[in-house]
Amino acid sequence: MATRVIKNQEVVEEDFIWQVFEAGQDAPEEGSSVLVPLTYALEHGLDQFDASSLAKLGLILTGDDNPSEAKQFFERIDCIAVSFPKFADGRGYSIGRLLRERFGWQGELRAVGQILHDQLLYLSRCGFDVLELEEGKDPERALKAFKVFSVNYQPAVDSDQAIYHRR
Amino acid sequence: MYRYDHFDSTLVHERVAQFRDQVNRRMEGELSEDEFRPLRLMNGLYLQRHAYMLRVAIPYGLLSSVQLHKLAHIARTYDKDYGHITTRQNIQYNWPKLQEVPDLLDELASVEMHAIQTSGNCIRNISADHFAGIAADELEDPRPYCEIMRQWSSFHPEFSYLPRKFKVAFTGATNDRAAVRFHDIGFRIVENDEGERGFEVIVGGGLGRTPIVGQVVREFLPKQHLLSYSEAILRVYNLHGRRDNKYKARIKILVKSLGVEEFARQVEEEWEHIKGSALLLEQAEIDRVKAFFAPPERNPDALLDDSYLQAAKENSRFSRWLKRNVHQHKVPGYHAVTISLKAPGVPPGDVTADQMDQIAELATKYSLSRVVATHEQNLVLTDVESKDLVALFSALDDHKLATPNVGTLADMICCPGLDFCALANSGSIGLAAKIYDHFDDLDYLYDLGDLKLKMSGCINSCGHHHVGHIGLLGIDKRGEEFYQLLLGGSASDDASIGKWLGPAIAQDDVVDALDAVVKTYVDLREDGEAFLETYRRVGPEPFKERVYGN
Repeated sequence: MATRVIKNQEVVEEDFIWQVFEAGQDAPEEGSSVLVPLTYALEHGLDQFDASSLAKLGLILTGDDNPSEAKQFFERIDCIAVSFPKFADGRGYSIGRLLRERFGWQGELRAVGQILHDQLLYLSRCGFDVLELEEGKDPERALKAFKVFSVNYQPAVDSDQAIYHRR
Repeated sequence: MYRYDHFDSTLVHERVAQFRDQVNRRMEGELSEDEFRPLRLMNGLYLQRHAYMLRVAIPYGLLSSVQLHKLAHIARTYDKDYGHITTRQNIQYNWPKLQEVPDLLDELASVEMHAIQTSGNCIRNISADHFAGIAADELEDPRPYCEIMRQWSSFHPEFSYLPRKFKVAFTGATNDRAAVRFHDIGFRIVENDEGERGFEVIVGGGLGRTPIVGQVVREFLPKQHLLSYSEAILRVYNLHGRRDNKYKARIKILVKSLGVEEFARQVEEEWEHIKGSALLLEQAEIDRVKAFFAPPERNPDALLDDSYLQAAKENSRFSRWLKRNVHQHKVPGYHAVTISLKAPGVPPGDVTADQMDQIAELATKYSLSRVVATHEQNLVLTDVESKDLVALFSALDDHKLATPNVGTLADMICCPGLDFCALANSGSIGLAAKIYDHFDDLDYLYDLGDLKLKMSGCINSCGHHHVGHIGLLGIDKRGEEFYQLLLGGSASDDASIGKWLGPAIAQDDVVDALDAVVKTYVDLREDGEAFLETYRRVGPEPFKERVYGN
């Protein structure tokens, strides 16, 4: 099975599926790709996840998490996912910017949950490079969302210039 | 006033194209109503009781004649020949059709206007003192900073899905006419001990179900940090504001639950990280924007012609209008003229397409082509020379725009109520009509002096009832319209929240109750005392006795 996602503003097929690890669950199968909730990692560490036997290892953050606490794991992970349980819950935008701009995360930053067409541009401006659209939404059709604005007023992850630096 | 450069213009046009695409996707069913709602709201489009309502932004209330003519044209073409000025200096149209809204937005874009972020859980249109730039008590014109803030907050990628809406107001004057203590952030331009100008930053004020007076988070913020400090406040709010209950989601609740000291500590900590970022405003940009608001060239002889004073002696109607609707200007020989949109028989704040055209023409002729919308739902011509006052009065009078009741009880703030709003419990417009009918004696109104009556049709308090000297709140009691009566509120420097006087009053009895309130004041006032001063001195008891009697 594959997942179609938007990566760096193009539709790509991923030949694996991220599984979110749940406390109490058996050790993940060899070769699987696992997202560990930050709260779990903070309590138990990541030692139980053998990076050499897994395809990929990542963290998943919710809006309640403090992104500064993810920093200690940066060396050991391939991806940070941030969940948006509802599109109206905008905490993940701040979390994305903090991970990129303050804590220096340079690997994959993935937005998951209720991700819709009209959020894509803002998510990418806040540092998300992989966008997993809500099930049933066509990523091809959503690509035009990145082209809506050709200029921006504010600096963000994608630009360290405000509009007044360009005037 | 500010003029768009190609960046501003590009953005507004691209926004129209985006919204057109969103409307198309909604019409084709690709977007569900649930998905479309926040998108249309972020463009000021509400679904009301009967139809869509579109709220158009008037940044800090300032309009050119050209823009006002366009608003008149829109009222004619897309609405039923009128618009409604709101308490946040915007204009609302009550009858646009969804499929026509993109065309309407195109028309707005052609005169450098838009409906961006006039609703939704984002940073709303920035409001300001309606006498900004001309007030005698002003330290500095706040509008350049409003414009800088407007740009920074437009399409902000991080702050477009906040816990709740976010309202910002500015004043540069000593008397607060912008209600900065009742906004999510209020900025006051102040001077520090070294004589430098900066902002006092007030956070966490608001009305709604939980009225709270904002608190000072920082006493002096150097100007170049306006945006970085705002970003710090918004980030703390976006991450920590409540999202589980929309009635507890405004920043005022966060500030209250953390305490202002802890909230300020978190903001300052965040700010330390970003104060040196690209958000640091360069003086060149401040100067660039300021240049748009530079004082216009004025007639050096404006002061010489004071024939209007003689005219006032001969014409009592002109004299009344002069007293109530004409205000001091910082330049002698010039005046600010308020056009009251509180004429009897008209819903407060409503203005017809013809009137908009007439006002725009008069602004071109007599007031440097500028018009300002006020949060008290009137329009102001900001730069009228003494020599033109008589002619202006007579032209306004011809169009029923010279109602001389500004600042009186009849100059009430009122929400659209049941007639339009899907949330309302009561027909505040109908009650406003009864109040006009009863208080129709101008001399009596003048004798009552400055009196702010504010009326909301429901607990969401769009009519600012908490901060009226007299406030009225419509409630539903077993299917009947009742009103809570509040006294003692103020949105100004002496900010206070009105207190319930007693049990709710049936709609039919509200006018009598108001009558009892003002008579109590008249009986008890001491020399020259305004209503609010008397109330604060004597307290609610005498009012209560008279209203509820025995």
